[in-house]
Amino acid sequence: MLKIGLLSTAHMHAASYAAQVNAHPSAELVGLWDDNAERLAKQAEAYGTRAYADADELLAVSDAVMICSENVHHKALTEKAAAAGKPVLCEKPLAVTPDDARSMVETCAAAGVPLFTAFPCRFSPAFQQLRDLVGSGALGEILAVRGTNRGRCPGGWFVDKALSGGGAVMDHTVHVTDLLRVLLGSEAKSVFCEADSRLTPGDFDDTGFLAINFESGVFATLDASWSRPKTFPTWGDVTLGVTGTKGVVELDMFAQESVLYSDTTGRVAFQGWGSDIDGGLVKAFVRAVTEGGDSEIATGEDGLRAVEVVEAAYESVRTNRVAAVRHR
Amino acid sequence: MSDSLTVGIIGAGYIGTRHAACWSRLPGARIAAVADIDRAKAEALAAPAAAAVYESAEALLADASVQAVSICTPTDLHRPIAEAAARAGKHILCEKPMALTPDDCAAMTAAAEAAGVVFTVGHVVRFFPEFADAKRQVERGAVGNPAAVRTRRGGSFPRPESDWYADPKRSGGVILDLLVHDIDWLQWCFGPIKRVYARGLTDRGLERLDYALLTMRHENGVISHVEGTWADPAGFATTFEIAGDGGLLTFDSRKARALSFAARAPQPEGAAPGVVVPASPLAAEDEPFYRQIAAFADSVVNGAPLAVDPADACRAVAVAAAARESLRTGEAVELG
Ligand SMILES: NC(=O)c1ccc[n+]([C@@H]2O[C@H](COP(=O)([O-])OP(=O)(O)OC[C@H]3O[C@@H](n4cnc5c(N)ncnc54)[C@H](O)[C@@H]3O)[C@@H](O)[C@H]2O)c1
Repeated sequence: MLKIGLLSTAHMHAASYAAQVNAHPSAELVGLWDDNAERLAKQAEAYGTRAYADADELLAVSDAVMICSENVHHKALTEKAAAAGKPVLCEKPLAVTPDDARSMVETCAAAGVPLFTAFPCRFSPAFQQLRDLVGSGALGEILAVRGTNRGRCPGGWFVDKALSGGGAVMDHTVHVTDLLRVLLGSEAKSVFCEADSRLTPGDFDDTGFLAINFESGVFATLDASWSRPKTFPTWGDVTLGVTGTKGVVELDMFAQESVLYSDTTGRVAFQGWGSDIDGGLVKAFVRAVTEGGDSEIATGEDGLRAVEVVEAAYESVRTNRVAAVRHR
Repeated sequence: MSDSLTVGIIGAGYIGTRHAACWSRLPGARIAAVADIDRAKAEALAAPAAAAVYESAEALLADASVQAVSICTPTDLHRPIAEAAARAGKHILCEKPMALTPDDCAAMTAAAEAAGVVFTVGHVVRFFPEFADAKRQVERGAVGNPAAVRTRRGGSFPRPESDWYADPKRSGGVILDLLVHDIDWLQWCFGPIKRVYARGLTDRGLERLDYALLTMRHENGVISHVEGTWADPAGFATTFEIAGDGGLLTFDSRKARALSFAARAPQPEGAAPGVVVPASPLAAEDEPFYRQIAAFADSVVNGAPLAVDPADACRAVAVAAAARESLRTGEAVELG
């Protein structure tokens, strides 16, 4: 049994990862630590695991950890885990700056500890089929991609830049950027971005339209906005429209859903029934830690590459010009 | 309407045929002449109306019985034909895009003003009920303050007999020819665009493939994104969404279909026309091309305000031209 510790539950994905670990035949959630005492007690009970007030104590009993803290704390917690020699699966974005992300990669490498980034969209069966379709040559040469990753404004610490490092562009750039890197086998070269704070009161970007140019010459755009209203029937979307010389593909990752019109809740809500991509991620993490050599899961380097695109996007917003992606 | 508006159609191709169909059922209007360098096409359109047939725009413009013209030729001919029409004292409904460059547009507008003729441009999207309704929704505050707007338009590569769309010097490519629709609608709803960043395939010399993605900022702060494709074999479709601080309005022509038909036998090879415009069944008087022509006739006959001011059409071309420039320079382009 692989004993997995959970460092912080600030990010809502913690609940899903915990459930996936609990459901895993050869892994168990050994405990969780949180710097917020209320959250610690509540979530430990919810996930049916032990609460640790001291992160080092949890590390001591864990074989590996998942970090679901506020973005700015990813670096310190990763360093702590590396010092304890425990493999890390870190929530996205890996860090709030590329320099921090690079330093996390280095620290883990020096400690001989594997570092992975939580990019569950890689495990979407629809995306994997798209990737295979591209690989088979059925689309011909890929020319352009239109992407979206919209959501509702998550509020809480996500809109507090001191904890999140940024708004919608920080939160929603990295998933699709990672998918594009996987799909194109090419690195982002430059970014243009229009972003603004217009949808939700507060001083953070809630609207972000990125245009990403890849080394290979493929161009893409990505709508990273928190533009889904509270009444939207689901949390948001991940879509890719891929144009190739031989055809086009439309991916709507979470479109496997039925529509529930409920007089009880007074709401219309999509009921998703697709395969749980977090399950794919957690299984891959367990496999990577126990067997090594899993090529599906995103590494720390992959996480870093995505954060570099975030940095370039914010630079472009400041200058209204195209910003080069600076690789670390 | 008085019973006296006589119309000439210049260019009897795909869109000229649509104009003719609308003119022929507009009360008080009569198709008096049709011109096309391809005489057979002109004859086919002229026959039901017993209209005169001409093999050049010049010859039609010399016909004193013609009061107004629909200019439906390839885009590179819009300017010279519109200028000649103005000189001949004809009122003008010119197909979109108004012309290939903002300079051409300015010259056409000046010619029409000097001649004192009614001049408008076929931004028919303003007459599509879903797009017109979206503007009304925005104006009544249905989505609160609009912030993030997206549109998507396109299908397969248009391919009329003469294949002029394949030459960007004649058509302007997918940005000028197709996305000028969305650009005009965006500026109509959200005001002038001040900055555009575009990436696209127009200048790549690919065989019958064009595609573009435009990221734009309006003067009022709205951010808009336009996807245009002449590379999608799945068929013509349009979408829009308007996200504001009070709601979200979405439309997808692939879903908003009142009628669908599937033929059991495969369609014969080459059955598709050069351009396919989405058809969602509407009452005859609500059909967008009909409403566009009725509005133009109302301006000519009754002096009604123009539904599409040529200045707006010119500004749409200016944004499209800026997007083309962005393709060349790889930088965002600011509009004056
Ligand atoms: N509003 C819309 O939705 C829409 C749709 C399609 C096309 N259009 C516009 O309409 C215009 C025509 O496009 P189309 O698809 O009908 O092209 P088309 O090729 O089908 O028709 C053009 C016609 O003009 C004729 N022509 C060429 N040179 C001429 C000349 N010197 N004098 C007279 N006739 C001449 C051609 O023989 C042809 O019959 C373009 O500007 C296009 O952008 C608008």
